[in-house]
Amino acid sequence: MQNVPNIVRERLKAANRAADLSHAQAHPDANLLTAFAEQSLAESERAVVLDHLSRCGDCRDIVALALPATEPVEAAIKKPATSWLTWSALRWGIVTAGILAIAALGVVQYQRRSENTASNSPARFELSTKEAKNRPLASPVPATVEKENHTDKEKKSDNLPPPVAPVLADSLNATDVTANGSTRVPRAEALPAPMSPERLSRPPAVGGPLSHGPRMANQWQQQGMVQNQAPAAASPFAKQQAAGALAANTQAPAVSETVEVQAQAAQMDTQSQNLVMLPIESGKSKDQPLAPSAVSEDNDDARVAAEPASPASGGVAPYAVIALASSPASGASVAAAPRWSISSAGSLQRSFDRGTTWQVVDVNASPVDVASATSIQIVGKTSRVRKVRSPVFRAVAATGIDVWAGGSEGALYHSLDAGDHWIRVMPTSSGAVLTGDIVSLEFADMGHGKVSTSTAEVWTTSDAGQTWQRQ
Amino acid sequence: MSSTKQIAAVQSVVSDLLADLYAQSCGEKIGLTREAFAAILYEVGSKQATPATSESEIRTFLVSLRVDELALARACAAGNNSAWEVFLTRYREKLYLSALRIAREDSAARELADTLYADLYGTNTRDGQRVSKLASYTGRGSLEGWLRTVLSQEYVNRYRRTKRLVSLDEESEDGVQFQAPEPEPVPPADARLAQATDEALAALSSEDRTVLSAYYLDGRTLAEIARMLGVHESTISRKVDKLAKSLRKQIVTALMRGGMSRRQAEEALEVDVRDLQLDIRRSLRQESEAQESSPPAFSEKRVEARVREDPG
Repeated sequence: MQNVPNIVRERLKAANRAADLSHAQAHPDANLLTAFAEQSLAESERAVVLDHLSRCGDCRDIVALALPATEPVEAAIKKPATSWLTWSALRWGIVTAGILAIAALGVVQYQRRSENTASNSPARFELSTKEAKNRPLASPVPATVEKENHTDKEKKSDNLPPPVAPVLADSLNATDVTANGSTRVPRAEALPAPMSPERLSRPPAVGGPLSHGPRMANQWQQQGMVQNQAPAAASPFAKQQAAGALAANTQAPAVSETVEVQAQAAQMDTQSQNLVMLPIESGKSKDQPLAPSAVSEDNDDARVAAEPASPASGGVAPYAVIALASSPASGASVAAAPRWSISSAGSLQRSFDRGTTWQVVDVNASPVDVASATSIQIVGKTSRVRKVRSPVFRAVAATGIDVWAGGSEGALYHSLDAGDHWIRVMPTSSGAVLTGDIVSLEFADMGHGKVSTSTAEVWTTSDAGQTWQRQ
Repeated sequence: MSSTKQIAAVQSVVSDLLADLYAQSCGEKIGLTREAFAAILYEVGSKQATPATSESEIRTFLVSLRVDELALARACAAGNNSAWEVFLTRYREKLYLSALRIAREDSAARELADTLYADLYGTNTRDGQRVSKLASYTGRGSLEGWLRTVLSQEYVNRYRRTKRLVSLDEESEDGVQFQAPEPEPVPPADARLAQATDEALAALSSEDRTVLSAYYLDGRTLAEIARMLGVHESTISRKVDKLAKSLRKQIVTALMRGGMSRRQAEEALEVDVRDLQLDIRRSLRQESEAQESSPPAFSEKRVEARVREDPG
């Protein structure tokens, strides 16, 4: 930083002093100074205030002292929708399309043959997507989410509306197919160890390892279960991610993202990536009928493909995505949906053992290292990471593992995995933004919710937080 | 337009916009009647309007106000309880937090906040009428921002009187080396230098001078200045650099025009630049604090004040 000659300082001081002594200048009142600091003065007025500030140290001090604590970190995502249309994204789009097409047949076949033993088994479905090293983040997640959902839908015989079936199908199987080929989708390097039996348990029962076979069937059922609600929950989530990815426009090295979506009160325990692969593996080895074309020789490589999505949303989610921190599926599997509570100090807590012990949940935790996970952070225009204060929470509402937490200054956070990962949601409606202190949250189900603030504002959503209406 | 015309203009705009603005203000919920709200709009509008203001300008102005916060503030000033409940829920905590950030010390912060709170509540009376500071809020800036500004004003006014008192303990605590007051600035050896500098400074825009003063006199960080002016920090950084360089050049040029040789001119500047240990250290310290974007410590401000406000 350059220094100016001392004479400059002196003369500046002298000018300030003279102006001070002359008392000629009327100091701008608090309204004017505030409007100045908030950049809401017209040019002419601003010039007058600036002129005064150039001579009055006290008023400069006042403006400086009155600055808010931190700058707002939320930023509306305004990236044009076309920014994801890079060749590499398109390439994967084509691959996905091909995979899905091929898979369709196999899925239909499999579906006919698969048996459904348990009905209404709550399922917990984990998605994992994998980023190829040189690919933009944009595509993979939504596609995978939808794909996974489809797969689930597919496999769950019970409440399975056939429509989606073919598509989902063996995207898993499809993955299989491609896994062998040269167009094999890269797999998550950060994959945790292949699912160990202990991590799985039957749908209705909590815990307890299962043998491969029954588990297989259950897995499929669970997955099938999920799809009903998964898309609803997942797609906003995916959209958020997509939107976030668009804005962030980062290229991450091989990462794995884990998204957990629970269709109903989850009882199932599943390992992330492995869940998807399971059918394939087991299918092959455990007499699960699979379309021949779908069975892969190389099961180990059959990982979920991170495939680019067709533009899930042409534009931007109507709310701003603040940050999405995710980590490899380490402990992300939980046995059951936790209970939630807010301490008197306003910290968010959850308990996995029906209230015996509680852990504080930090919604801003785990800015992950990029090497092992994807972190999409949209912060201001400079894309610089800023520290976010932990909000003071006043309300929490949970539907299974879908959790909403709200607190002071419009802090509204949403988690789709019982609180392991959070997204900051900023409801906007006709240009207004929810910035008041949230005092109550009511979510009848994952899609419909109502947020009330201390200033008697009521904001509602009927699409799991994608769009909001202020009452 | 004449004064009566002006009044009429404001009145007409107010009645035009009243319905919309009143609805927007949610004044009904906090016990502010439509008529009362209209009166407020009129008051604010006519304060702003000058004979030269057109009706559309008045309209733009009124529409730009934060009417909901204005209604809240005025309802509080009028003593409405439900309005106070809302105000307290929203702002009480923030008031104390902001006071803490400004005063940087707990007891001073509490005192500051308590004093302001009393002013806002209207414990003062004039002619038997409760007088609340909130009645002076006009909705031009956010209420929260206004509260911070008022806090800062109170702080600056209050502590300006006591600035000259320097506590040895505080200074050594904060790691500021206690130094003898700066010697009286030596009158420039050459009056031409002062004049050349004055000219160079006068040629700058107000914004540039404000930036320079804030940076070199007040000791603000680049980040703070950037936020004060609503620009990016790098903009301020570049500006300060550019200004420092160009001022130098300007002064030298002016001196040369006045008859000095280039060498003489540069020397004249050099001599004054010599005693910059204090400044460099301060600059360095400020830059390392740039990340925190916090106002200088209380005692630092005192040192500054002492330096700035030379006796006489």
